[in-house]
Amino acid sequence: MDDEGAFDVIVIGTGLTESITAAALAKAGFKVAHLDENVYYGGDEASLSLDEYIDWATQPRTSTQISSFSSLSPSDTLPNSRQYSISLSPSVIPATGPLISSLVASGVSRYGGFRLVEHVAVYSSDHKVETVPGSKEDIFKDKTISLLDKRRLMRFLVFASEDEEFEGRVELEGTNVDMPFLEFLKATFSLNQEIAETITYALSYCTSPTDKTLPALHRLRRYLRSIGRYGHSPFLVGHYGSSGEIAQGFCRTAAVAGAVYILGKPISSITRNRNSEKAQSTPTYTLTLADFPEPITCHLLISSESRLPVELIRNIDAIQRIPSAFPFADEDKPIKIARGVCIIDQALTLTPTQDSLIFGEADLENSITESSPALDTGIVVFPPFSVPAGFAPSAVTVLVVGEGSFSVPKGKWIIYISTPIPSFSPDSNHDSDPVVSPETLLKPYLETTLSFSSTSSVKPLIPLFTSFYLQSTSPAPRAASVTASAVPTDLSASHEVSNSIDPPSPSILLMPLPEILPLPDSGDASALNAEAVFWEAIKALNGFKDTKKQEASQEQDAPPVREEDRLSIESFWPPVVSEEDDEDEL
Amino acid sequence: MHGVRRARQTQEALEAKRLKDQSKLHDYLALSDDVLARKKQKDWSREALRSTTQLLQINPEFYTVWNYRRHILVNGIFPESTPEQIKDLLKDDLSLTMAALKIHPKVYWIWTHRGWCLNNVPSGPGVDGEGDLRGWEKELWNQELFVVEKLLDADPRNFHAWSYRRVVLDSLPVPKPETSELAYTTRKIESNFSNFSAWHQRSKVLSSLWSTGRLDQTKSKEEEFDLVQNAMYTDPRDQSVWIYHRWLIGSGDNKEILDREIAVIQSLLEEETDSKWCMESLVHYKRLLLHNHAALVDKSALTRNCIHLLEQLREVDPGRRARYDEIELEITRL
Repeated sequence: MDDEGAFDVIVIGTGLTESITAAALAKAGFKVAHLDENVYYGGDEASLSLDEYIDWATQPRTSTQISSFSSLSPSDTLPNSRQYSISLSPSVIPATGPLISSLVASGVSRYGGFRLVEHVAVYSSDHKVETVPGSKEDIFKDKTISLLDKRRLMRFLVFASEDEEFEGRVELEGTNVDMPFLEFLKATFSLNQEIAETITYALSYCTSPTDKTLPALHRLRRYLRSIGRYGHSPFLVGHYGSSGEIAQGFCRTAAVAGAVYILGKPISSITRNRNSEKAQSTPTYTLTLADFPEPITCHLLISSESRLPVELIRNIDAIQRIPSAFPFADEDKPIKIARGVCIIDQALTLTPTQDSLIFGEADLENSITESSPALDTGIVVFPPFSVPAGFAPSAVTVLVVGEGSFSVPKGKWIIYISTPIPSFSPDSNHDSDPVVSPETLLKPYLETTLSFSSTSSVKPLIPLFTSFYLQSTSPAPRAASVTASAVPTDLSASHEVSNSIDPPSPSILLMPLPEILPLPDSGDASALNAEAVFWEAIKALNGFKDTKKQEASQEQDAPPVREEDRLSIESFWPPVVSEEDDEDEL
Repeated sequence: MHGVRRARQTQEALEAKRLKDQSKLHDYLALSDDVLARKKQKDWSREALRSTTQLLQINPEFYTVWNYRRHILVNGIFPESTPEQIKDLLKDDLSLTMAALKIHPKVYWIWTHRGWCLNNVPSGPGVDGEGDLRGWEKELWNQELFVVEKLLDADPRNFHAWSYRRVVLDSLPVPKPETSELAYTTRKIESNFSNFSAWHQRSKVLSSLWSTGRLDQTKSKEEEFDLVQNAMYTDPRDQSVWIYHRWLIGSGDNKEILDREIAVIQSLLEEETDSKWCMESLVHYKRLLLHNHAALVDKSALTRNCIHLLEQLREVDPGRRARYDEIELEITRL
């Protein structure tokens, strides 16, 4: 009997990590159902139209985000709501890394376009916004760095980009690798404070002066390796809002491979089925959904902890928590991040008037008038304590996207601004309201950013729309709206039925806990975590098939089970039949 | 091309390729025999022209056939054509060579044929005092500049392209100001200063600008020293930078400049203690001091200093120790 509601695995939530996992499992041949209580894809990383975003911000949330909203201009002064794609978790994608590899290998990259981040700038100690030199050419041309500093900076960048393991290198000998990166740069490479800060915050994307050396070096190397692959900048931004659009792309790929999508139907109940004495092959869980005719079943549930009822998790020992696959995961990470979204209708500029290194070059014929070029997509980093009116203890990162990213109409830009709340801050306490609102925290930096206006007009740049919120990774206590059925208390009895010596396969895989990561890392973390979950899921699902086989062999009149039923998966994505030159194309 | 890896192939791929090549070879040899036979018979027909086109598309390095093609055009086809038709024929050949250059940007004979075409453009479109007699020439030479620029964008270190660029700049009916060429070299150097051809071009343009008085030599030289010092400190291993610096110093007549540059390089050596180029340049410039300004310097101190540098050079660059030995001899002989 072919049951349409029977699946191998049900994935709950369509965030990026879950979507990559669902796509990989579907392409590997499993029957996947993918659920999300929202009517849109992407969950906490969704990309929403302006109206959707306003709805999202004003509804009470039971998800992991707490919203605190302010200075919301009525949306009827901003037409074309659908031309906006506002990301709830803006990030950039390194040109080399697990996410790009997955995008290409899964074919999802063909669904959308990508924009290179054209500019990265840092707010310097003398209150100017300056280009961040990331390559030999940049350093050569930079007129603000002295000769000696150029040499030292180059020497550091060469060290940072080499292939050798950092741990054994002579430069790290004798240093405590737990030393803050900022100190390491000054001590070992004799770099001055300003250059050290630029490297720490705007090349390595550390957020705190206490961030350690080794993780920072590893990050920096990944980004340096991304330079030149698709252009001068190491980072890309996906069209139509990046994060949500990419999650949706993976969902589309999953659907093409046969996954079933159910959006907008919250889960009413999850029941663990009592296993009868013999038939282990009955599905393990039955889920009923609001306003949905039939229940659906599966052997394996994949979800983040916050989306499952507490009772389910507490009582079942067939749960496996997947640890984060992203390196340096146990570091002292912040658990909250203050975010702001701002829409403007005037261009910013991050570059001072372009000068050639050669002064007085009498070449009017060939000179390009590059006074204050308007920015389309760029990043500005504010090191801690760089803005006098600001008091954020961590670096503040600004991501500006313009029409080239296809997430705003012509003539508009979105400014995303964020700063993590460090774990030692009193505001990192889970449950209480923040002492300092995200708006108070971020406003000085937003105002400074708005001062980088490209027109020399005296008129100050006034945003058309601003919104601030706090994003938290600590799981909010789950509302009791989802019931878990009375879980059989005689679990041990049901396990003995199979006569197998192996421990029972886990039937719930908990996604790695979400983390607050530097701007370029969340996509790669999702891809790595998705792969880790994928392999555990394969093991678990094959475990079920084995038990099924064993069962069947015990029954005389059962049809013979074929070896091929045990799927052998060799790689995360199935090999793509393509020409060689497809590899690097986006 | 610089920086492009050879693709490695498997055994099976190699074998399949060999078989494909066999049949291609067969066809090629037949074509080649045909063309050479026609050449022997002085066949100047259009059919012959087409055969050469076919052959040259496969093998543009066959310079005899380029020669034959020029004979066909001059002896067979041009005499029957109006100036405008000749211009169009030459334009066709320019397209042919352009396509060939995209695949083979370093074959001499393609470049020479292009030059020949451009040099044979008839006067026109004007006639005898009316209109622009050099109109066609201008159009085609300007296009040439554009072509060479594209090739240099693709590979800025292709010396054929740089050399051809000089030919084009010389042949333009309306010459471009040298200051714009200076700016061009600036752009190329700024995008990647590991480019000997770009520095070389710069030196030629500057020499011309200085000698014609269009640029003040003193001030310009200061700017060049600034530029080259930035390159030196950014990457002390880049050979072209040191060679350019040496050209700037020249014979070392100006003691002030010499002293200053020596100090700059000395500072760099303190940062990069094993930089061979720093050491070698210091020796060279100190020798210039000894040679040109003997009365003003502490000869023994300088000599001792050079010997010490040469000792270090023998260690970091042991392959040239004999040369350093010889330099030491020359210094101590003074």
